[in-house]
Amino acid sequence: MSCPHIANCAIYPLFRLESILNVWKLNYCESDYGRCARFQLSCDARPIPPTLLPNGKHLGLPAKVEPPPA
Amino acid sequence: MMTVPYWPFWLGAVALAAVALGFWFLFGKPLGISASWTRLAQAGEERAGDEAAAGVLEDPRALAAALLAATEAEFGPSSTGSAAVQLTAVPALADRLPWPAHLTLLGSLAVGGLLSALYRGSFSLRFTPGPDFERFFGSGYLGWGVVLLGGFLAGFGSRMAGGCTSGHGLSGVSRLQKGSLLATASFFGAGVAASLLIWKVLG
Repeated sequence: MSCPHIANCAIYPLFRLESILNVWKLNYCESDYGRCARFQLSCDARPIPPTLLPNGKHLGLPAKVEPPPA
Repeated sequence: MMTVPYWPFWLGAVALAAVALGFWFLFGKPLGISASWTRLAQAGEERAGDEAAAGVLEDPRALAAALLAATEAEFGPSSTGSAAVQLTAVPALADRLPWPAHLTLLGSLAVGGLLSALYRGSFSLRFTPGPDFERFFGSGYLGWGVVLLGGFLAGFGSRMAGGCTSGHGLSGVSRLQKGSLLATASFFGAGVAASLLIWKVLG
């Protein structure tokens, strides 16, 4: 059974490449969605941060690599 | 003071349908009073989440890199294959109703009620729910306690059901949502049963 939010989960538009989105869908939305952090927050009627991933981690800016000194 | 009769039922039904469906067509979101109150109550938490997300969402390349890294960290390097992540535009934030829409809706409840009472000529300030309420539930602190308990139960139930009478009864039913039909049947059924109990048995 799929997640009830599978039609309109707000994090989907962030994934512009469907193959990557499908990996998350397969492992969370279309299977054990009860462990999805976004689903759990929605059950508690809490606001869902836009960058919260199903695994409970947040998308963050990658660490900047300083260019080597000239 | 002379009072004006209530609107005919069909006119009220048309007005409610126009508001509920108009809200949906305008904003693409269901109208819901409890949802608006929830947004208001959780404003601080929501703002903190948006601020934390702003950096990565404003930069398409950073977002692409973050998504790729998060996917590989969760499912392994082979999960993303040789996919080249290309972002053509900054994706929109979660589509949420703006604050003015919520505030307008909540403010209109009070203003609409006031205008209606003034129009009917029935406006008056009072601090009890009325003589019938006092007859059944008492007055003073007891009456206020019952009102508070009722408010708590209504809030608890609406959050548990994911909506209240406006969200399920107006927005959901008008769009023939199964859950809303069931929820509305439940709380209207319970209301009729409670009324019968109070008026026919206890009365």
